[in-house]
Amino acid sequence: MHEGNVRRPLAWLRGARRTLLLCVLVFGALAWWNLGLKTADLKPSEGGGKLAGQFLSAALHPALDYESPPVGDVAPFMVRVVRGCLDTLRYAGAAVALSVVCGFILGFFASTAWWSGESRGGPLRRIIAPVVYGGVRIFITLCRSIHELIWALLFLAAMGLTPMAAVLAIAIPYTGTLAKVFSEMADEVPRDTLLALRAAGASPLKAWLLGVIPRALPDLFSYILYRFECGMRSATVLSFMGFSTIGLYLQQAFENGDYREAWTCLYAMLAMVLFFDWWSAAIRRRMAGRAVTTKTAPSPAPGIITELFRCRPRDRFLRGSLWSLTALAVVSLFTGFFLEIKWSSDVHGFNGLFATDHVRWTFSPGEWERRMTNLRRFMDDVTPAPLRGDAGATWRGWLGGIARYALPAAATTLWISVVSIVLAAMAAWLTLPLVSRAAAAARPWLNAGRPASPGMDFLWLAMRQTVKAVHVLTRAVPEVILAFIFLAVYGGAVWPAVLALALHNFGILGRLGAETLDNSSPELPAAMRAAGATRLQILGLAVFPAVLPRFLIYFFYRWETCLRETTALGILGCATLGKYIREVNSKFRYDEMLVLILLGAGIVILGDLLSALVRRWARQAV
Amino acid sequence: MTAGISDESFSLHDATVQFGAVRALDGVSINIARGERVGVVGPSGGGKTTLLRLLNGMQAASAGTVRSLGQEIATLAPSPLRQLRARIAFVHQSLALVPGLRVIQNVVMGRAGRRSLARSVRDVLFTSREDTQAIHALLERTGIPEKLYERTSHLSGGQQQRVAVARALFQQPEALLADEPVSSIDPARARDTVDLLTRLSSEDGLTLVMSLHNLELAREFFPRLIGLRHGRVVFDRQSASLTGAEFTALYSLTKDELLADA
Repeated sequence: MHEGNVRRPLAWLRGARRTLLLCVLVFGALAWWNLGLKTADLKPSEGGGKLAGQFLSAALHPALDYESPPVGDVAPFMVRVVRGCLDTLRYAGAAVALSVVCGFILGFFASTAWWSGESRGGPLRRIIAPVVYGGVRIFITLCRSIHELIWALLFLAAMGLTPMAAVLAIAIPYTGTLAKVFSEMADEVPRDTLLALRAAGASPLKAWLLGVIPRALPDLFSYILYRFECGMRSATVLSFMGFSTIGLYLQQAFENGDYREAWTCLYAMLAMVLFFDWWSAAIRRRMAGRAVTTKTAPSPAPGIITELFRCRPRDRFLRGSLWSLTALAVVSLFTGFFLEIKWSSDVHGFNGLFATDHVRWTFSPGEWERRMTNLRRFMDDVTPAPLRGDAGATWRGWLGGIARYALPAAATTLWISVVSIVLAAMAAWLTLPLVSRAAAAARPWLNAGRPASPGMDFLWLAMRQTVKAVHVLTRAVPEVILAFIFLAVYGGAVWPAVLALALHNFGILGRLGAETLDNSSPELPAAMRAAGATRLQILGLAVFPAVLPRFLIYFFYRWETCLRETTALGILGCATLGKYIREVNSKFRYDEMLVLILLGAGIVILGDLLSALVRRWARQAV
Repeated sequence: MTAGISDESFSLHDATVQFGAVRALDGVSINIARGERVGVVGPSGGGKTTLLRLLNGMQAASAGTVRSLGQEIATLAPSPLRQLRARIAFVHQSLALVPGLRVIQNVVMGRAGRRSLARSVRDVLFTSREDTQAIHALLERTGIPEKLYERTSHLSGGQQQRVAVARALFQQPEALLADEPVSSIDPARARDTVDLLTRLSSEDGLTLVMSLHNLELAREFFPRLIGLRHGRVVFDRQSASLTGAEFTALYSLTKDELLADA
């Protein structure tokens, strides 16, 4: 036997994967050192500690009414909370509805299914199609490389504080994401139906609509619901730009020190997010096990069509979900996008919940004119100063002035994202042995054999559920809200961002990791267990190597998103690019703002490319 | 309804298809008359699928001419080519059904090539009463009328095959091409399916061209057989006149091939 065939311990760590893992760790350490992070700074100041204590102790007593009597004419507290939720829901709903439609259209052009797959082809196939495909791909990447909050800043500057600005700010990045995901789903679907329809004379679009979409529908449907869940988070966070979503009341209550009110808002937001989380998961489960849900009717007479129709198998839950989702989308489009609704504050009790001061069309002629004037002024303002012909403005001086503060800020953004994602991944992966169904059991990886004592079984179950709940909750809270709270506790400019990003991504990576672990093959671990290996030995030698490639895929996928979010966190005051974007925005230097936004987008696009390359490479190792 | 004057369905003259260095079809000349029933046999990679794809224009010929239902395919613009394809049904080896949809939704797609985009989408969502009756009648002919509203993924392989056949017939074709429709099912069902396809196409007066591996079935159901090997026509004769030696020669490996396989 060759020497090379002898299995050494940790042999799997050799080669490419080891290099990648080491790179990640080295970059994490580099980032840590560059940012000058010290664990000592994690101990809050006296004031911060007190604030944190008060805030946390209020968690068990959410308020049902104002803690201190409100000043002036305001609606009752619970009316405000419910309205905040409704606003969150309608902005999110309208944004997702718009982005599903636009993302669907762009997703068609961004997929390869519509133009490849036939040997014949005129100029359409050879020249036009690849150009359109490439152009659309670049466009959707740009859309999603800018964070909702930054889009909101742009739209506020361009059109003022109108619901349309909020909806567009969410809808544009979501369109980019949905288009990308739709196109990937469409390209992964088996092509045979598409080709069969083409063979029967259907045009490319027809074949795509009938042959590809129905096959991708289950995944598509549950992904759209996941986008609703994200939309609730995004809409909540838009409150930092002044929109009246539930986040606004959370923010106001927190700043006034009314922590019990803040918790009420937080719980309301969590309830909405978790509801969509549950709904999406329920639909996925139903669609995966469709055979089980089919109603078995007494076999009808095969000759009578109406009989057959009456007894057709159907799933009430899926049907109901589809209709309620459509209704939600239509209602939110009208109440959140086409109409501007201003709630009345002159209400007493719940009867006035829906009382409004005014309702008007977003696109009424007067409104439209005002907005176009605004937009024209904005377009003037975003023209770079040297191009505008400002006195004494030169390209060199202008760009140099921006580069002096923007480049360090860009570097900080990059380092913060790296430290956060590395911390998140390490924390998440450490919790996995406690949450995986196979590993976190009284008798791990062994289904047969002696049953463990009921007490031990229960303890393991309790622990699994607790860790799982921590994952779900940390994931449900938007990182912007987390950063907002950490900023109040720590006051620094880097740790709050790192903590917020690490915590939110910890939840996501924890959940994805647990799924991976539970889906990995149990054969080798079971064999090792039978041979007397310990839990740690099995995890280290059998499980971790098997799931590492997939972990790396998730890691890089999250890092790409993290980079985008890091930029946006600056808006709250963290030391990233967003801080300067907000600064020049408040000075109405929109031309500089645009450069900074594009710089941020550029970094994200580069990160996106790098992440895509690494993921493709890691996927080959799966 | 038809554009051609001749009673020819398909006619290939010296057709060649080149994929890079590989010549999938090499100077093939065949005439198939309207209503004729032809089996195409030969080893894998012999050019059977390429031949069928040539007939409905899914594959362009590198050289030579291909005429289908009276039209020369190479001269057709995309739109007339689609109209031509709508008159030729194709039953694929993989069936190409959408598993999550109901049987009726899969069958109604057969006519997508003849109808507008909006109509085709509407057909799938809300099938009209006339179409429903027509599809039910077709399913009766293929033997599974009770499955009209069943989810396609719930059907057995043989039943799904019948759905694919029903979809092809709902297209109201003048010719039916079938690419190894029975290669992935057991012998008893394979016989059923070939029987069904030949019976239904002769009832409707369709030209039928089917490629298949099973020589016994080929001989039993097809009066005329074309043997393809290395992209060339080895024989094209009445199946009754073919000898066992000719079949053996068609499938036997040369010395080079044996070495290449090892």
